[in-house]
Amino acid sequence: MATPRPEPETLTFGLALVALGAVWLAADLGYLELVPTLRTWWPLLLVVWGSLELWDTLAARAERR
Amino acid sequence: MSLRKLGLLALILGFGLAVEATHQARASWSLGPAGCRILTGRFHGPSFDFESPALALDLEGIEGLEVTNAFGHVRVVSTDGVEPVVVLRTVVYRAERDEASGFAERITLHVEPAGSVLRIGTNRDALERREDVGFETHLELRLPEPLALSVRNAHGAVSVDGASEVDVESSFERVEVRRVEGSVKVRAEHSSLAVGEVGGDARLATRHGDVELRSVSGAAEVDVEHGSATLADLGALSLTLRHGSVQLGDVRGDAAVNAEHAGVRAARIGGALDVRTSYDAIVVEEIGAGLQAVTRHGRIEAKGVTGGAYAEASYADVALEGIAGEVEARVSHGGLRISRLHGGLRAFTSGDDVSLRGIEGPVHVEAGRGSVRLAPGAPLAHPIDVSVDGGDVRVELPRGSPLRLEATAARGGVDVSVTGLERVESGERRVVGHVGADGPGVRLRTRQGRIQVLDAESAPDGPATLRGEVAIR
Repeated sequence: MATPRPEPETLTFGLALVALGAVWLAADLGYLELVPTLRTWWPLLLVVWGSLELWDTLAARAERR
Repeated sequence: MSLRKLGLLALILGFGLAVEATHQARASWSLGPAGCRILTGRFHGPSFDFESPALALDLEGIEGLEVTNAFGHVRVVSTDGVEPVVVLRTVVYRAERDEASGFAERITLHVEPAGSVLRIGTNRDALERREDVGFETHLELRLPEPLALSVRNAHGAVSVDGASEVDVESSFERVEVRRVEGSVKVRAEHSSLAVGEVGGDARLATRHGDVELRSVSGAAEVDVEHGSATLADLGALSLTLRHGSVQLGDVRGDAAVNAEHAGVRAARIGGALDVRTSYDAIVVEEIGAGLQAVTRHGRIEAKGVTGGAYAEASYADVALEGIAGEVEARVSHGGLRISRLHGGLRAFTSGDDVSLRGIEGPVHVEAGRGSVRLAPGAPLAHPIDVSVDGGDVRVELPRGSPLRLEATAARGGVDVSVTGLERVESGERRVVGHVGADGPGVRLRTRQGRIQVLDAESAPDGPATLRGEVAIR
């Protein structure tokens, strides 16, 4: 039995948590400023999620063939 | 679209909005030592300086300059031999230099003759009406000769070095004026003033700032609120001051100080000095004519007054030394100390002791609670009248003083030990007598207390004229 692919929103949520934690940690360590960095990069979440949705749709279509 | 996807989309967008809002708030709020406040206005953030080339001024037939400015300094310097020019320096608050430079190029000087007056300013008003950009305009004028100057400035410092006469209105920055041939007039708010070397009169007024005024040939009229005044070398003075302090020295004529909640110190006043204040002290010395000193809730100390003196104080002491004329002193809830007084005394006190040493002239003392000690210091030539409600009376007489004594203690005792006294009446509470045939009257009364009259040389602590100097603190 094949393992089902993870859903894009699950991947996105997980990646978002990892990214937020990494940025926050880097800010606490003094490598960057938290708010300006989040303000600059937060739309990347939409890009990543959208890409994952596209990839999931295309992969499902390929499996049906 | 599933509910999970909608939830995640809402979560991401909400997160983004929160981050954006936080970023915007950080740019316009400040949390620091001054507390939490909103930063508004156009004058914060990055700024860039620009200086325009010097613009030559044609002063042919010009007798005066009218300078108008805001949000920038005005500096005027008169020096022999220089070409008359005006220089504009601008500071523009923009994020990028190119943007600031473009705006600065649109700020221009306006120089316009109007009869014998040259008007100098900028196109600030027109720019401010059209655009919401913060910018400073600093004007520097170099002149070959002193001219009459009128300066209207706001939110900027004013500095004048050399003029025939000066009229300044300014706010929120310091005003400095020096080397003026004629009169000076300055009105300011939230500004400190420093004015000196004035050939005519000076009229200064400021709120929330200090005043420093020196070397004025004419009269000075100064009005200060919430600030201190340091004034020296003036022709005459009229000062009004509230909530601050006054330091005054070397006035050739009369000086009048009308103050509230302010300590006043004055020295070397050639004419009369009239001081009124409250909730602080009056300390003066070397007054050429009369002294009038009145303070509520404060002490008075005066030393070396050529004329007479009137001193009125409450809730603190009055100390006078070396007064040539007649003195009237009124003290409530305080004591009185006087030494070396030559023109007589009228004193009305309550609340503390009275000490009078080296007193010449007629003496009249009415004391409430408190003892009176009197040591004339020289043979009596004038009458003495002392009346005390609750306290002792002690009089130390120079040996050989002729007098007619009448001492009465209603609820105490009378002790008289004077060489050569012939007693007419001698009781425990009343003594009447005389030394010599026709001396001045000495009338001493106390309602509750003792009266002691003795020779100064036999006083336990020696002759009184060597003690009792007033120390000006």
